[in-house]
Amino acid sequence: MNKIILYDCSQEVTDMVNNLFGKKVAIENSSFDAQRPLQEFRMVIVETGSKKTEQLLQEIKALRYACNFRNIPIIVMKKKGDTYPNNPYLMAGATEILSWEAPPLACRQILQGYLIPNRKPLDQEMEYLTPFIDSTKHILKTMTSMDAEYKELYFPSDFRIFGDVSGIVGLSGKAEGNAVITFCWDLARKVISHMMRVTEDQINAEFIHDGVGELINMISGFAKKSFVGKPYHFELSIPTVVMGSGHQIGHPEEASIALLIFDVEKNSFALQVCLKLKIEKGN
Amino acid sequence: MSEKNEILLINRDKGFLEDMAGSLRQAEFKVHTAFGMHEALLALTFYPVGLILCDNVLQDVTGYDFLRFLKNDPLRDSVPFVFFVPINDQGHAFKAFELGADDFLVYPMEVEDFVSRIKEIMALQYPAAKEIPVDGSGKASPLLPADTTTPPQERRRAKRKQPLPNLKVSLSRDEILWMPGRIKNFSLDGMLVITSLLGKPGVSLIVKFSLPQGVVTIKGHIKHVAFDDFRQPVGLGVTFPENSAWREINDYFTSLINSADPGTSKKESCEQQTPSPPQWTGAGKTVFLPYQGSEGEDFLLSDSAPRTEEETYESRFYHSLVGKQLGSYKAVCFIGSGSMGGVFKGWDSALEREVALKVISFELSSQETFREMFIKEARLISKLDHPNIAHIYSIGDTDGILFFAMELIAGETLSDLIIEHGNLNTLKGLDYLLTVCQTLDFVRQKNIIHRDIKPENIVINDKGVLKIVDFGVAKKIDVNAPGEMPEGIVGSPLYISPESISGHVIDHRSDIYSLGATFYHVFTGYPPFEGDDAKTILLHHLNSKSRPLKERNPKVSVFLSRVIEKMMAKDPQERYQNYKTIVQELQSFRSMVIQAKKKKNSFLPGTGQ
Repeated sequence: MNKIILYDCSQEVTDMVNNLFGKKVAIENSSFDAQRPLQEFRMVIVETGSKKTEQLLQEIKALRYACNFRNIPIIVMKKKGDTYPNNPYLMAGATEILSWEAPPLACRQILQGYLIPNRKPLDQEMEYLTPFIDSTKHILKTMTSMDAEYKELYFPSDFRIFGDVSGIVGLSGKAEGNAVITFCWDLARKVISHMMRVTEDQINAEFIHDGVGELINMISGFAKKSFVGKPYHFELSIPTVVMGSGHQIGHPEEASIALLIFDVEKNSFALQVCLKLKIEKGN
Repeated sequence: MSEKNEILLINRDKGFLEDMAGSLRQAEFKVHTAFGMHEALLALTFYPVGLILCDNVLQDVTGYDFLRFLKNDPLRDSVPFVFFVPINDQGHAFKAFELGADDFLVYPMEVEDFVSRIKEIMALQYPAAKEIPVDGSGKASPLLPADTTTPPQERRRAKRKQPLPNLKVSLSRDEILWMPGRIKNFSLDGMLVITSLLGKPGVSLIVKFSLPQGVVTIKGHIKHVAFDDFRQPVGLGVTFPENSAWREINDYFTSLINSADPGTSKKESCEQQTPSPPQWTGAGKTVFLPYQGSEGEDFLLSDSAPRTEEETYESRFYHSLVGKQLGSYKAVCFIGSGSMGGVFKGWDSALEREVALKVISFELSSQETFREMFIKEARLISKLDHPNIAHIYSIGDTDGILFFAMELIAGETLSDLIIEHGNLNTLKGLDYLLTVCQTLDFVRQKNIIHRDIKPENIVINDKGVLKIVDFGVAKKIDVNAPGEMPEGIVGSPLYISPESISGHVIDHRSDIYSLGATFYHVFTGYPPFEGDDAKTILLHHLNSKSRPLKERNPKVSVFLSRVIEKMMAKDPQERYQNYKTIVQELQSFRSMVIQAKKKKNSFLPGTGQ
């Protein structure tokens, strides 16, 4: 059964969720707890109005960290008359903002949509994802002596990346797309310090930039070798590094974006791969 | 809250942060705090910070590292940066100014002195708040932020070459999250915008402009991407091909520059300062509006304005389904929204083939009568076996989400081809018209009317085969009750027939009108009627005569003009009564064209001889 956790929500929100889903989902009401792992839940709902907006934004940010890159939608229910813009919530890590003024039908269907089970990858998708999984494990091992364990993958519904630092490399050729590696700050420092052979306290912004850029470059470069002579063959662009969360990536149109999760010493990082075969146009 | 009041205070000492933040808050500043660069960057992402007060040693990096980083970031380099360091570090002041700091303060400092200095700095940074241009409502114009109108000689940025006013836009890939962007330069083709949104050439992008007339959102494509440095946001070259809204915006921006440039003549400036607002761009979208028992035409038409709020919910609903499993189908990626629903590229797990999944809008799928009608019609259309019709494979329902799987057609719509070529006044265009007529004749024989013929619903696949898609609002004519009233307005405002608008009984001649309007657009490059909103366009369909095709495109033949104009007669009785007649006339015309031209070129002759 799907489990939904409601953090510091009013009775109205609880009733609404109960009315929408009945006994199809198990609902848990709780006070905010940044330390609680959220992997067991299919959805997190928070509500505006009961606390200061800044506090709620910080809590959403903490919840997004607690999701550990997993596909757990964070829904913000806005009180009636709340005109605070949606963007800060989305930037903090919220997936969707619904208002009490929204048509109930829309709320129901949007929430229902997020509860539908994730699809499994197609065989042809695994054909290009497997080399990236192998490459990530290999590069982490050889460059940092750390073991990256591949955990799971899903196909996110948006173009956003959450985390503190991301390295992006464009892929083009017979196939086109992007590969993006995203770390939280602490793991980035740890990985880059291993990679640069310096202690963590010596790591500064320059190291992070260069290290994360180099890492995605090497992962994609090593994966590229597996595609030589195959339909998914690609060339790499110069890597880009962005700091901060909530960035949007310009993945190609009509292509699936796979988000692969790896664990390193109980911390997770994410690798987004979007690769689409170029289709020759007919007459 | 104005950004002039928001301060970001960065120091790794929690007690110090609380004390200083408290003092500033008492002076009515809004204060955000951070222990290091990592948190500071997040705060800069969330809040419109007007001043950064930073120590020299932070939790993660040095204050100098942070300042260097900010000054390399075009989106954040304009935020005034003031060092606030312990007294024993004041020897580094020179380095701070060299990096671009706006001031250098040392602590301990008396609270009153501290607050007073901050007020002085703020006044210096934002000296002309009263000069910010205001609109009629007294609100600051979003297009002219303070830093474009003040004389900020004091500011470091003012020393840089800044050829254009600081024009800001919002950009999005999904119309949900909007990223800020700053226009670096622009032309009639598009613009170069500096943004944190990352993109690839060819990818589409939605850009939101705040204009005095209101917010205008248009779709463009990334033409090129400019990376100068790992640490800088990207420069995206965005094009808006053949977009009238962009032309208007371009004129408006030009007028802003001209009005700011003393060298521009007053006449030119005046002419360009009052551009007409961009036209409503939603007229190509299908509307499905129940008559709600009203008798008044005005009521119906006033209801046909774009319902952006609901469209947003629809788009968000479709978004929630990406990457999900719907029955035996996988929703691989979102393609776009059509009449009544969102379309996804899907995968049929059972038969292992690609499909198009059409998910019905939550509003329609919640109506029991519509669900029944939809299932009935889908079954019927699944029986339409024709090489030029996209097939429906199956219908499904997952947790109340209604969808059908249909043939996935990779190719270009007539709408794409019009954008690409301007118009399709070619033999190929004529062949497309002939094929659609023959296909719709087959549909008519099954007593079905499509009700949403438009360029977007005619696709030429990768093999060059024409397919009519989207029978989602098609209707079966009950031969036992041919005079049955329609249940509401169905169709796209640019191509809808007059009898559909006025609520009269419709038959296949309504499709003939829409087909005429569609090929008016195909042959001339312009829809038959345009307007600022759906109501205006619908009224034109009811009452106005469209401009002759030859006026729009002099190369269109007189014969073809006559055919299209007859197809678009207001009174169904005055139109062609069946497709066969149109096909016969077009075929004989085609033969004449081929003979006359001897295949010398594929353009249709300018006369009907």
